[in-house]
Amino acid sequence: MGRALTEGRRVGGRYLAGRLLQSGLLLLCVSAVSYGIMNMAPGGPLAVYLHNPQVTPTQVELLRHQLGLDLPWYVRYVAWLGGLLRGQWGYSYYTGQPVLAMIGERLPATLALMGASFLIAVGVAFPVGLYAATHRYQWTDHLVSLGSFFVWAMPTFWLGIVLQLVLAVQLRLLPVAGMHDIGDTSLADLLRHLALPALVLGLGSMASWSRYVRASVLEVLGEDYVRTALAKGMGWRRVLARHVLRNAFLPVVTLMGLELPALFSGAVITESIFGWPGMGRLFLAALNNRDYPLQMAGLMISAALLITSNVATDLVYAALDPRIRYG
Amino acid sequence: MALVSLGVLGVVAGAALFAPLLTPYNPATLDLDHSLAGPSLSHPLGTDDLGRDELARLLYGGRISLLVGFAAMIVGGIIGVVLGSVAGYFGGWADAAIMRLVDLILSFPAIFLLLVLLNWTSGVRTSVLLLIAYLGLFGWTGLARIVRAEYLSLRSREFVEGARAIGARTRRILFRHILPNALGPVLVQLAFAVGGAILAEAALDFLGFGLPPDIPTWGNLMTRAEDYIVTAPLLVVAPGIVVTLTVVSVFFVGDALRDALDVRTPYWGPR
Amino acid sequence: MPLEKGWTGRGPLRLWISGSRVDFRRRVLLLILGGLLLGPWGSVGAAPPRGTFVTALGDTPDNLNPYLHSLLASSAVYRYTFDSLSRVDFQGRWEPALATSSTVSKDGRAWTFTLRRGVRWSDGAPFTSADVKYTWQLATNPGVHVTYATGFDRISSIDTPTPGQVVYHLREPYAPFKEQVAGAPIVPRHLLGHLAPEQINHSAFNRRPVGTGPFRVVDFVPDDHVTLLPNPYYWGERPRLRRLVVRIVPDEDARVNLLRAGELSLLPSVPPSRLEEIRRLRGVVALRYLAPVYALVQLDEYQFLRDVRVRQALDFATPKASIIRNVMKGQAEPAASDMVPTGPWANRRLHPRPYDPAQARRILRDAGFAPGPGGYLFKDGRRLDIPLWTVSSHLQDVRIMQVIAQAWREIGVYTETHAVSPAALFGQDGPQWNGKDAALIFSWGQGVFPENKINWHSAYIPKDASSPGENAERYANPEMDRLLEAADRTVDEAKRHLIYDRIQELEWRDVPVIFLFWYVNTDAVASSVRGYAVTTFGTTAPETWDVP
Repeated sequence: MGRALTEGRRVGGRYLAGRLLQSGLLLLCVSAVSYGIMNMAPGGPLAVYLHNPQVTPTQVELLRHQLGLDLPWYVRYVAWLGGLLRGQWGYSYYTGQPVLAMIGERLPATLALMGASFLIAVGVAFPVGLYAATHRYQWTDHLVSLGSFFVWAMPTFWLGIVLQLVLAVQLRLLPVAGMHDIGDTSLADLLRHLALPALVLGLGSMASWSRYVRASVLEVLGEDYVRTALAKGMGWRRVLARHVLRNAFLPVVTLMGLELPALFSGAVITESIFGWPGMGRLFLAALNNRDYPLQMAGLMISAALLITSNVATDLVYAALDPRIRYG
Repeated sequence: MALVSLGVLGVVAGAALFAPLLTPYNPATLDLDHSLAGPSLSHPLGTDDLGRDELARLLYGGRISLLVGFAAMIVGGIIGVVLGSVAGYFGGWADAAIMRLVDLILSFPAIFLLLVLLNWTSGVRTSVLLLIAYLGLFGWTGLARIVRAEYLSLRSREFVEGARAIGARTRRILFRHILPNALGPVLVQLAFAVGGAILAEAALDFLGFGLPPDIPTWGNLMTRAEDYIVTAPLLVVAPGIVVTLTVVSVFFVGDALRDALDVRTPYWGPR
Repeated sequence: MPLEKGWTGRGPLRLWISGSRVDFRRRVLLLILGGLLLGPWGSVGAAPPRGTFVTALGDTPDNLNPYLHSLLASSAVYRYTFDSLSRVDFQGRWEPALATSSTVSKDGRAWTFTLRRGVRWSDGAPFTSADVKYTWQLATNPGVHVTYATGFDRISSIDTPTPGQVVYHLREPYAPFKEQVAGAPIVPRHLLGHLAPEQINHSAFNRRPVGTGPFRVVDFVPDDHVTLLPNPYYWGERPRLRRLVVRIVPDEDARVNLLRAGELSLLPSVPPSRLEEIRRLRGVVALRYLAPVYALVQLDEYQFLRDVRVRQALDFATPKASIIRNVMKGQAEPAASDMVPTGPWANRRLHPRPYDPAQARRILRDAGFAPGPGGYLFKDGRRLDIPLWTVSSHLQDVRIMQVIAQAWREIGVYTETHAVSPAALFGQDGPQWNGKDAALIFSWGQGVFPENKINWHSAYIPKDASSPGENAERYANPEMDRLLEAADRTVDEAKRHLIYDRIQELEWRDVPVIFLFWYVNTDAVASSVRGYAVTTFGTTAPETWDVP
């Protein structure tokens, strides 16, 4: 970081401003493209009524008119955009609730689940990857590789159901599903219910992250300064702590940055298996039912998060690696 | 270890290629009265939900899965490396344009794009080529980001300055000098890309963009057996193990390749 | 090399660096320890306490207002909170609910109901004829996002001469009035009557409804659970349960796991693949019943399928019994028409055509088809192409499709199978609108009532993917049209039965669709539950359920 001061600012204010402008334009672009594509896709919010024994033709026509679906999509898009900028994000076609309220309801549960799984993944991936790197090519490394890839290759639904059966049904260590027992609002109860789904999710991520950590650590272990430090008589522990860990961070930071938007969008399969009321299920339902207002709201928020996390990742990257300059 | 992996890959690929020699069963022949049978002498891996021999489906499934997996990896890999290296090395406008494109693609649900694409190809049945196209086109973004990150950090290194000083052409610098050094995370990503493509094909199949249902692939073997996780676990586990072996082997072979190509990175770690 | 001094790097048990205790055994140990710490043995997965009834749904209810809901899950919940004028009990008999008696005028155009006295809404307000009239006004309000309100459009006006009497005036006699209107939920005027349509669309009533039913909703956490308590003002038998909880768990296997862990009183619709496992569980009873839902192959009549002989041949060439036995594993019953066999409307003289490929080949030969290149059948130089389509995520239907494809190919039909998304299947670019023969496999929830005009009447042949009307097979038969219209007008039950018998005969003869089977459901009930029984018509009344 000392070099940064002598070389002048590496990440200028102009760069930041440029990125912010790009982000805004990008969001606008995303919203327009998504709205268009959504409306071009076959099916529609009324599809669920068309194939139903109890519906009447006049009712469907009336619904179509009430929801404004008889207007061309660009007209609806402009209306929606106008509402968005004024803070009115619309109502769900199905529940009639304000979409922001529906999202807000599920936010705490989603953050809890994704946050916990993130922690588990990070907490396990780093030690595992480090271990594998420093025991390169020994049988333990291969075992770790095999295990990691297996966990990664097996579908989430398999991992989830098997763990649920073993840990919850047969061993009765943890609850089967849901966020809390009926009537129990304690933290201990929440943690008990959080354990399984977070574990399932975390294991899946952990597998691939530990591979990246391993690769990254191996790269660093080949650097000159490591050799220099060792030649100077620094012990392994200090070398690892001082140099290796910090520099191995870099590519892994990119990876973590990629995962940040998932904190919001949740994980559908895990939520479905464990009955966790998260965003993943909400947006899957919105997608299937073509609940446009809800879908667009979710899309805008996750796109904004994605774009923001990319900008943040780039900035952190520049901060960590003195060799990176932008512009 | 690399040799072992190469061997494993060879066995897997060979088994898939020579499937008709290895099994008397046709993977599409139904035998309803003997569905969901456990492993036996006549059916080493049992039968699936419609009585088809599981081993035969696994072997024939390998043909499509391996083809799709590697092809999609190559397509996605080329796009990702090229775009990522350009973005990372040149910076400025190129970087901004490419990265914003990545953001755009990642921002909206791919399912809609797929539905619309399917419309435009007006109900053309999903063929293997179309599958490879879908998977490659959607899979390059992660690789591009990682490649960009590597190039960003490597472009100001001395050896790059050196290459520029002696007048090497840009393309040469990008691919002959920098790329071997960036290979570490790239190879990891590529190994995952193979497996990822195989699994993504399963997801596409579940959503309705897959191959016709009697054609087996490892991915759709796993999804179609979802109902039977508890009652006939082998149906899901067997393809999963095969996919794992493939991905692990690709990874190790890639690792060895990197070592072979790589003059610069020694290993100062504990032996 | 100096690096290696003092360190061998061998063995996974070596802790060679502080701060990274990473060998395997410890990692696994840590996980288990964590699990143990987070919950003492046996205290989790507790069975529901006495008086509490817990069941599970796969979807979250979208809207608990009966006239604004779209998903089945919503009706599964609001059934506990609303009543109708009359209702069908679990044995299929009509019984009085909010109305104690009713009469129909001679010309069939006026229905008079005498309302039960002393009924109150769950918030204490009195129930009167004004509520019944308001329900009609809500169901026909053009500003409200009304979804299902079949039959209400036949009403021209309603009289409420006294708070205890309602008279419906219809434009013309309409036989389905009984099930569609008299069997429809009544909603409270005192809570909704003064609201503007937009307010109704977004009202909190849609999450926390007020009805006259045995239970009331006290807590609704979307995607998580719904809690219901007994309605203190209920007009009927006092509910024996202290609490009713509906948990929302989307995954089928996870719901079975919940049952196995003892956390459920009732699991509706056990997936067939885990039936054996459930049947062997102690403390759980499996209740088997026929669902009023049938699986079919819709034959879109564009080219060769317009010839009834081709359709009959395909019926003979479809191995229905084998599908029931091997694919559905016995969890299905044969179907000869669209009226459920355990119901009062089924024509019991009809039986499904047996699997007879030889007969199928004969019929096709007599219809002018002859084997050609590839072993497929040709007529007038064109090959008999009938592609099969179904929804990719319906795994059972995908299996059935493959079985049928193999059987049809054996008699010389060229068929390709397609498993696609619902939008691709039923959408404008799907197989129903491309002018070619196609066979679609899906299910239809006919229910226990006979109204099926939208399936077979030529006026309901949809013009395109967005027009409603279920006669996508394009079946057009003037006699069928006349019968269907007459059925709607004939209020006399005996005469109506005769008409529907003839309708079913035509369905059997003309094969507009191939009827595959009726679904058999199995509900799993904990043995601690009393009073729960289920049939094709539904369950016993919830107020009689108990968990003592």
